[in-house]
Amino acid sequence: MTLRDTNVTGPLSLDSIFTYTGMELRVLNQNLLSADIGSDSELHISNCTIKHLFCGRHDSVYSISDSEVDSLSVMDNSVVSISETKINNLDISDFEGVLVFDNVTLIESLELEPGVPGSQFYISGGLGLGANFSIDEGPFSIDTGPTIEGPSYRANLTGPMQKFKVTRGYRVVARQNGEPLEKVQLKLYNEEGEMIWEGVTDGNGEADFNITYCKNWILPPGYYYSNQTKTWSLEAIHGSTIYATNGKLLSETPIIFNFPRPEPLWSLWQFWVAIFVFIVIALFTTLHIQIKRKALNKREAL
Amino acid sequence: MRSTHTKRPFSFQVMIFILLIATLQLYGSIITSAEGEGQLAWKEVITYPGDLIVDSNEMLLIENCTFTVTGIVKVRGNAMLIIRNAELNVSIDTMAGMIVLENDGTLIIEEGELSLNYDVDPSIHPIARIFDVDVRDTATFDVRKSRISSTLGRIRFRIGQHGRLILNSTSTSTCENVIDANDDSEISINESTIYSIELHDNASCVVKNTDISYFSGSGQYIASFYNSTIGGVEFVFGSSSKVLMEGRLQGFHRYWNTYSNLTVEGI
Repeated sequence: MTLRDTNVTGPLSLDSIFTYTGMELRVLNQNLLSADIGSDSELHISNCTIKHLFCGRHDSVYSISDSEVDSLSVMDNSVVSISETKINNLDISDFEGVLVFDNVTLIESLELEPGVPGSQFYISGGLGLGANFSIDEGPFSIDTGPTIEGPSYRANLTGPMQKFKVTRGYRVVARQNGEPLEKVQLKLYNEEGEMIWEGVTDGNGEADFNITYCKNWILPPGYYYSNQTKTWSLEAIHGSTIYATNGKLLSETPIIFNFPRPEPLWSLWQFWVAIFVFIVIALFTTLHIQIKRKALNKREAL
Repeated sequence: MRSTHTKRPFSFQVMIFILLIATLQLYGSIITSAEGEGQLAWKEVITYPGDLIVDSNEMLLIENCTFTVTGIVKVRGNAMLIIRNAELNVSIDTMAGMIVLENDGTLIIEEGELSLNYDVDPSIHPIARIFDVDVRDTATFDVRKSRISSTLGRIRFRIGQHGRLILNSTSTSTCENVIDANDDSEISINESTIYSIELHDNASCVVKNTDISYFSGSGQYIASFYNSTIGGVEFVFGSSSKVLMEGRLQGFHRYWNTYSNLTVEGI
């Protein structure tokens, strides 16, 4: 294709046919209307804006970085790695592959529809939520109705055959005056108050823990296990200061604890009381000594 | 003798004047008619019942009239149909694929009009071929300084099997005119209106001074655009394609080439 003195005013679409296999596309700096590749293929996207991106097909690999996606569909057993990217609407349907987030922001909505028995996906890394993204109105009240729609969130996870397992990675960051704070003790408790993880922050003031959420997941010896609506609490302890926060599957990460700088001694009232007492005692002692000396001098003079 | 001499030029001038007025009135009525109806109008109207088939090295010239065919128009066997300063009106709901050019057949429209006025949509007709104009088997459809219209709101051209489509200074009245080219066919468009071009399988196109809304290419194809505007581009990749897109496709391009800005292997 050759363009001479020609203006391309609209976006670009990258397409394929699902029967096509083995392609490898690397796309940089483009404004894409849509992108879709075949099976057993690779699609690498960087610094693009994308209206519709389909990450599906069997055994295909996708990497998206430094981009903005309006509508992203994740399906099949693909491997999808997304970093430094904003996603308006994320739809995960019939997904059996691996999904990795790293500093990804979900702006508007997430739809999970794992309709295939045994489907699972894996989420790791940072996750940010847009200002309009609501998860406080029961988006994962899966057992209460067929479809729960919030102002900007929709979860559709019902049906006796629907099951999933999500392993979510959470990153913890501890700081003091903006500087990394190491050796902060961290304790993670489940809803029953049992400690399920313990750790300390490293030299970068960071620590990581994973939680696996399940719905109707069959665990040996053969019963269904569901914990996808459970919450947890995390304690961060540094010196005498203890902070605690609650979270759940879609809580925003990283979890940041900002510890205050240790207060100077003179900011304590006890310090000033002690100073006062010390001064009073010193005065009284000095007076007492002076009085004693005078009395002694008088006796010697007599 | 003198009086005779003096009267002759006077009568000659009157005749010239009367002829001039009559010519101007006639021209004015033609202009008014054309402006009023938004299209050219020819006095003579000819209706051809059934299919119009031009075959076996024949050449048929239709000129200065509105020629209505109630069936399909088929040109084949190295035959040629020329519509010159006339309107070819295809106006009945018979088979789809209303214009069929095959086996070295050629249809030329010069300063005329092709009106596809049938009601049936070729794409949903039960025995339909899904195209309005079907050019195949080294046939040629050549339209110059003319107009193509359809009451269906869109025209679908299929150019295949070494067929050729030439649109030069030709307007199409409808908003969605799709050219689907494949099998070593050739498209040449200059100063015309077309909605989209889709190339497959060794098809090629040369587009000059034309604005199109959409271009799609798949397989091996050659597309060249000069001094034109493209609304959107779709690349369809085949198996084992290796593609690297670095240069931003959107925007004005003094020069942009697939091989310098889009590295493609194996399609």
